[in-house]
Amino acid sequence: MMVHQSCPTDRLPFLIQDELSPEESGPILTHLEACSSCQSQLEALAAEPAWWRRTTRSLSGMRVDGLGQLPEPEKPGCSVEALLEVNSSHHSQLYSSKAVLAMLDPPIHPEMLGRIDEFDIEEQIGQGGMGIVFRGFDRSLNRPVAVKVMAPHLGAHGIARKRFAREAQAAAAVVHPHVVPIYRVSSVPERPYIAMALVGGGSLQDHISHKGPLATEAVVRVSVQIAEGLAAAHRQGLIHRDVKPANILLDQDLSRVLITDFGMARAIDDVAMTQSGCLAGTPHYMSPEQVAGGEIDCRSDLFSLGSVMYFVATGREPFRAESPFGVINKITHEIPVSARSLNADVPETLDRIIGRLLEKEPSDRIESADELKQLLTEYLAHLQDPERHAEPRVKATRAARTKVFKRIGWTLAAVGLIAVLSWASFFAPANRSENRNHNNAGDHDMREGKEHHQAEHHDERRNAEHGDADAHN
Amino acid sequence: MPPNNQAPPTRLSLILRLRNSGDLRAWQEFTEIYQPVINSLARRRGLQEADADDLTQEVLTRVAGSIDTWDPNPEKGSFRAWLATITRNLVIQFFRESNRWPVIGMDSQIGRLADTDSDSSKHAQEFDLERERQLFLWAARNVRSRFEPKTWQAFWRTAVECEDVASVAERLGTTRAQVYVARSRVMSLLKRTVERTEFDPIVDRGA
Repeated sequence: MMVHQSCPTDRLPFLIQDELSPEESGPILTHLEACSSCQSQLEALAAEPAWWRRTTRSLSGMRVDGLGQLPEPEKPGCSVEALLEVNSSHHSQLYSSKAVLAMLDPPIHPEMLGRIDEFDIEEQIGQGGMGIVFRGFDRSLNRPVAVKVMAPHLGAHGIARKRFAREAQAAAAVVHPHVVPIYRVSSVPERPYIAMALVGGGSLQDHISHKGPLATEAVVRVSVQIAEGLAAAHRQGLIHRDVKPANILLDQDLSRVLITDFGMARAIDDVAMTQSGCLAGTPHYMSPEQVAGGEIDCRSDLFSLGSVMYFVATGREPFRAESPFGVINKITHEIPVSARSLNADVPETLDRIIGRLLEKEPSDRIESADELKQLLTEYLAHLQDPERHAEPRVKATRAARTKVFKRIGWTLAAVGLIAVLSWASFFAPANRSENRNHNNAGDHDMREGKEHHQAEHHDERRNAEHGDADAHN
Repeated sequence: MPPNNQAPPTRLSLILRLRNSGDLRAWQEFTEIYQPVINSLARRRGLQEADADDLTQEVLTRVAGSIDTWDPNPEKGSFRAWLATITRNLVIQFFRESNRWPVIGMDSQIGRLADTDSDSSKHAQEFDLERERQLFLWAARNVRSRFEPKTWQAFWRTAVECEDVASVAERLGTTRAQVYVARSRVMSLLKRTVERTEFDPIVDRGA
């Protein structure tokens, strides 16, 4: 194959892309008609020879009429929507429950699912990104338990398993009425699991999803308890990392909430990050510093708690988007609409507290879970008995303060301007005589305009004074 | 000539899009391409039409349920191989459970369905071949409407039906250069369309 000097080789890609004007393409087409080198070149540019072969091989058997009409697609025997649904329902679970059940010892009683150590496993009560939660029974201590068995793909991951054990042990050390007590942590590679207290009332997520947002007092009561539980953990240097409504469990009579899954998010993230480069689970309640992947401290939990409170008060997450990426983007950049604007029943003070937890900058947030607990306790007292307890004062959010400062700034500027103009008009006669002495006749029109303006302001001031006088009467 | 032959801007592989649950278009594409593949394989293994439809549904549902766990690590096998395995296992299971083996060519069928490595690899080959056909057919359907009929015919007759360029040009009343340009344009877009939906690169098995 010979490439001639006159071959328009560099123009051929544009010819394929149809990016040449008729004037440009005309001579090239004439050339192409005769130049076999350019003909091959053109086809090689469109696709490698293997692609031409695959095309011929794949399509040549089709029943096609003379016009190259292709056979119609078979009617879908399977609804795409149904597939989507199956997929979404499995989305958060990266394993099958069968695989987890296979990890159990055979049951003693036929109505049980199986056994792990001293626990009889009765039934599955939940499934999350980390594993399956079963209701079980502790034979030796004769009490019901929740047994969380780590998903096989996580258990197989050495670092995740060790972290799982470490975090669970740290969490087990937090003994607090608002933290789910952990009874046992087992990190044997075959089946890492945690046994903990069985909390009977479902999660805050389920509760809100079914019954809608809570009334203000309930929001505050629940939040005080979460803040207390977090404060206890934070005092021991333990960050939860995944504070969300699904991790807040309700007691049987719904009067008490307990936080669960301390530090577990970390163990899952280890695996998720290495396997797919992205985070597992919902990003809705993550803090900006968390989605940025940086170092986080206890204040990250406070941001998440702010999102939980927002959700509990309005029934909506503060940062909503079509995709996880969209959510992350909003967490990083957007200030959510106030809870109060979504639910008019949310009082100003609660709205401010939530806003102060949702500050992007950790140092702008309410300082600690302890401080939040104090604040909410005072607020709850006020809500329950406004006569005897004053409403706590809550600083506005940075964004709101900036807005107010701006407004004050503009007002001051306007007042100042009026003052200056009024002052100037007060001395106007003197100015006028000076001007007359120093300026030439060419400025006359301008001066006329200025005097007119000043006279107007003078009137305004008089009117204002007049109005004031009226008001005083 | 072509009203619009720009490739779609993203080249996110279909599998990532399937994992992004809620991506209806990705699932549509996936179903359009793979449903006929699975169906035709099931039919070739001797399933009746209704059974083949059920089986196809089952395979797709399983994919939907477990695509999130599927490990895209090429060392552990391709997505096609995974899909082929699911299909094959379900076919075997179908015959085992229904206890009715295909009547025609019974001996050979049972032999073919035996759980052996050679059968497995043969099945995978068949699957690949059918998938390739359906993938190109799907892409061709999508691409065809983007070109004028004459452009499409120039491509189809020369590239697919291997007719001589000069005679096609003569019959379409155009120049040979125009035929070369036309088929290159179609080919270029077809390639990009196929590439976009491929889960993993195909090893070309030669002509």
